Amino acid sequence: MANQRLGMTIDTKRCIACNSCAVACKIENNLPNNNWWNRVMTVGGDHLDAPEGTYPNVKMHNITVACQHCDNPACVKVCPVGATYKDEETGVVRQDYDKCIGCRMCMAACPYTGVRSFNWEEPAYHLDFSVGDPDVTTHQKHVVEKCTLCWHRLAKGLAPACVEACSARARHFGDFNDPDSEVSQLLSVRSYEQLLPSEGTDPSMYYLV
Amino acid sequence: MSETKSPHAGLTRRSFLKTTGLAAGTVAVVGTTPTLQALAADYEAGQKATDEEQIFCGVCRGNCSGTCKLNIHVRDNKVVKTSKRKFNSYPNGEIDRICLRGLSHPYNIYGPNRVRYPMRRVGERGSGEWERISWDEALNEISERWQKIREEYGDQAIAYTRGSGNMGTISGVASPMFNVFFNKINATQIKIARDQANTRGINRVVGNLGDWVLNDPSDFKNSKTLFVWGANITDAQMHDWHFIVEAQETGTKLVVIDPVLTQLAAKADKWVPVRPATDAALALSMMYVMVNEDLVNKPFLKQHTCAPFLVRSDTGKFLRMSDLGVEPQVVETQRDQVSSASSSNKGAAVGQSSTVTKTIDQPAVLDSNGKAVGADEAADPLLNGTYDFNGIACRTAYDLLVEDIMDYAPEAASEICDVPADTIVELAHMAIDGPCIHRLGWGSNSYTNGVHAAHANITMAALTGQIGYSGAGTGIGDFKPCWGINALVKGMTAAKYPMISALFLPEIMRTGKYKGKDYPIKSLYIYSGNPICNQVNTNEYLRDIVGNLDFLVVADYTFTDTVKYADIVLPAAHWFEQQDVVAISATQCFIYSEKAIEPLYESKSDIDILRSLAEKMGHPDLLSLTDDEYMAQVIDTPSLAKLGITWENVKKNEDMYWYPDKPWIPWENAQFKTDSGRMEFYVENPTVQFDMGQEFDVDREHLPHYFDPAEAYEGSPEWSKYKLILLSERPRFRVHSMWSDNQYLRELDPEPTIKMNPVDARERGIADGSYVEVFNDRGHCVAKAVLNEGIRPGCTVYPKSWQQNQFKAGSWSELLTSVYDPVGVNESYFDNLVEVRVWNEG
Repeated sequence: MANQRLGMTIDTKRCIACNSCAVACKIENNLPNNNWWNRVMTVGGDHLDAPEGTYPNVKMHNITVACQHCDNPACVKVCPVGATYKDEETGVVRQDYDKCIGCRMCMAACPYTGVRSFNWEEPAYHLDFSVGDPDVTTHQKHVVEKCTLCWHRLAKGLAPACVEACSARARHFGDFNDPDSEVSQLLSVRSYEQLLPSEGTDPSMYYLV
Repeated sequence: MSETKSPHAGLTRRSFLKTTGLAAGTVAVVGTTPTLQALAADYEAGQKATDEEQIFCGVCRGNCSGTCKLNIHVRDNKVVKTSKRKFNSYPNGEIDRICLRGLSHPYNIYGPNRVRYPMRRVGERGSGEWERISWDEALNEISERWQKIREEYGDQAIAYTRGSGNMGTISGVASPMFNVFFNKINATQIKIARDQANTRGINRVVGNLGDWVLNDPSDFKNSKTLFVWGANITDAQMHDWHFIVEAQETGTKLVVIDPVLTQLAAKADKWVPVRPATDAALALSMMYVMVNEDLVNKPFLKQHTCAPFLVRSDTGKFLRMSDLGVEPQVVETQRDQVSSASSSNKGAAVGQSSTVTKTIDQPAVLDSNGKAVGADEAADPLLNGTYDFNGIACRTAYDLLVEDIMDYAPEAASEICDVPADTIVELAHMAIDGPCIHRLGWGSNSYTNGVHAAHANITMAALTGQIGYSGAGTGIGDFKPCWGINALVKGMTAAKYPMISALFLPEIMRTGKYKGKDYPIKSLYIYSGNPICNQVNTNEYLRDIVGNLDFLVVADYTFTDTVKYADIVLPAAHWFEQQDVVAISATQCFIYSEKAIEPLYESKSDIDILRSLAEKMGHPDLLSLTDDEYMAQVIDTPSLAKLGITWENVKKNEDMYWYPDKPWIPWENAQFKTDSGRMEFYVENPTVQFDMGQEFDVDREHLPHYFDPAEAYEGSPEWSKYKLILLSERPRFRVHSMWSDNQYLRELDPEPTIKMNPVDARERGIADGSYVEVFNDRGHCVAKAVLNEGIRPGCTVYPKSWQQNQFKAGSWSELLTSVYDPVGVNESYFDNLVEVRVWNEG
């Protein structure tokens, strides 16, 4: 079987910046305090829900930004210990927390600022027990983390938590190497953009516009 | 895949987001509703997901109206996660959903702000000094204090009220159980005065099919244009948004009328930035265009509205056939079914017969031959004309309406609502070119002229005839009530004292009088609500209501602003710690909410708290049935049985759709629930929402008009001091004040903010991100200024419902007027002027 290229389409005509994807990710992955793998931004003014222009001639739309699971990931090339790598079978950019030495080269190399975070301290949590899925990897001090594309769910045949939680039905998940997949079909009929194509990273996150 | 290299202008602000676009195709995606369900987990009720994890069927029960069905994932007896759960009533998954609030329940359940034990206040009221007491001590103290108050002041001196913090049928908003107990002790029911103006304006024209009814959102795609009037759906009812975008994808145009560029407005095909509080003028002006260009639906007006009815100039009432010597008929008809959303005391029907006597005395119309005949007998009634009834001039209701509308030529209306005249004409043309759906929100409802905004809008539907069929309707989204439930559960008695609007309460507490007679209220019991945060004019509430109470008891599961002022606090259970069923829902389904975990700490479900109170108050057998038996009593009725709905079936199927047809469309076949069965846009006998003997101008209420709101307009009595209209939004980060302490959401939305247009900020020397004090004569509030070009100059917008301890000073509701329209008797949240200044006090 040919290798997959798993990723998402995110429909900016549907996204209302509700942040449900971000919170679903937060809980599902038991993210430590102030750690968000998926963030929501309004493209327009300087704040969430703030447009560009002058009232009433204003406009805005939203994008959500997480690890782009690039086909040509900049982070993988710079990791000195092979802790961040691209899974050949799925195309998912993965990280091995146990190998990570905390050098943060991957953070510097990644053009998509903010999609990775570094645990400077022992991770702290709002609640005194683990929430979300029991099969997520334990968060560690001095380790870089980011979106795993919900690796633990893929193994169970489930879409990433953010996709399932999107009440606007803006997020679709699938294999771009499969021309019959929902995501491939969407790309065939919709206009789309990738973030920072000039970086040559070829993200597997496509924003339908 | 190739890429073009042209920079995308919209993204240049953040360098890392620079993108280029590739037009791979521009064909609209038609009919490709995502099939996420195939990828979502599917669980049976109570099923074990793994050896460690069990999954229960729950319902998120806050007042966003979504009542989303959730999987409650439990490990080691703890709720570790929630996820969306499949609705069996909608096999295609179209209403399966969850949101950021539904996803963050673990914190609401286990966060430190949870009320764990019964508590007694030991410091000053509001000081936050408490001592832990046992349930027995708390209940003894409540019953002893209540008995003493009743002996000294009378039974009515015990009052009770709620908010909208639980959509449950036995422990929440729709529950008859509170009336069972409090009617038994003759307590006074205080009714919250929210979201009543627009429903009043609509229901007085079409009759009562439940508050807030409109075509199901899945019908939006069948409309040519969807008009959204002052509804922030993308925040406050985000579960409906996908129906709107799916309608857009299949060709429906979206028009959003809103002073604020909401996310919804940003998605609209046409955004109409209207001046606040002037929706009535805009709607009346659109009607002017329709009348002036002779575009109105005359057959509909003649057959299905009061347009041809003759109105007597002496009384303002319809000329009746009895005036013309025709004997009225008296008939017995079946009493209406009971609605789950009924806001009347559930004991109201005790002792009522199942039939009502109705007098049929037809309004007279002018037939085309010039003769006055009964409306139902006329072959072709005239819309225009006069009739001399024994020297009393009578005119058609339509002529009176048109005369009213003629005040609102587009140029004149444009001065009021600040919408260009040619835009008004364009909107009128879009509205006549149907079918159209007009969804009204809570915007225009939040001023003292809100009844008329809704009255104007529903009257437009009478002119177009676009109501009661697929793609056509006017109404308010999106709670739907179930009809045919039984509120007369075992033990129900009638209330001895009338229900009183919360807006009357400050005056009653100040004066000790109601309708001129002594009416002391000395104790208040509050459940499922946080009025000190959510009701208008907090300082008045604290001074006049709380300040005049001898004894305030609050049952809640978190420490709210209202809990803070209680004398006794009772720990209520979270929704997932009790069994209940939802019967008011945008999903139009009864939904079973399974108990997933035991009540934490010493908390109890609200119905168990009632049982304990009843026992202590000397009625140990009053609430003796089990929770299951009460739910069966509510749901097992003959009319629901016809749809196969029983409590047993609801439990088995988890959710059951309560209408015969899908999608549900109100007023099908133009059957209205008025006396005449027609749309009575001319309101013959205007009445008030709540009667405290207040006076009102009957002449003004017959037909819709625009008039200034109380305060929120240029030139109002407060204008010399305050120049900014204060609007609020119900942000996605909370549902009213629920979730306000949820730290997952606070990481995204950490502190109170006020949104301002940069022009207004510059005039006041306010920098983006600085702290400002918002103030008027009623109070003040400190928040961080957020400059936003989507905010109309002259307006400010605050995301609502932070708790007092989250502000540097003050709170939002301090600033809100408690002035109310005598007819609507509704809280007018947006009818405020304020000023904003830099705050330097740290």
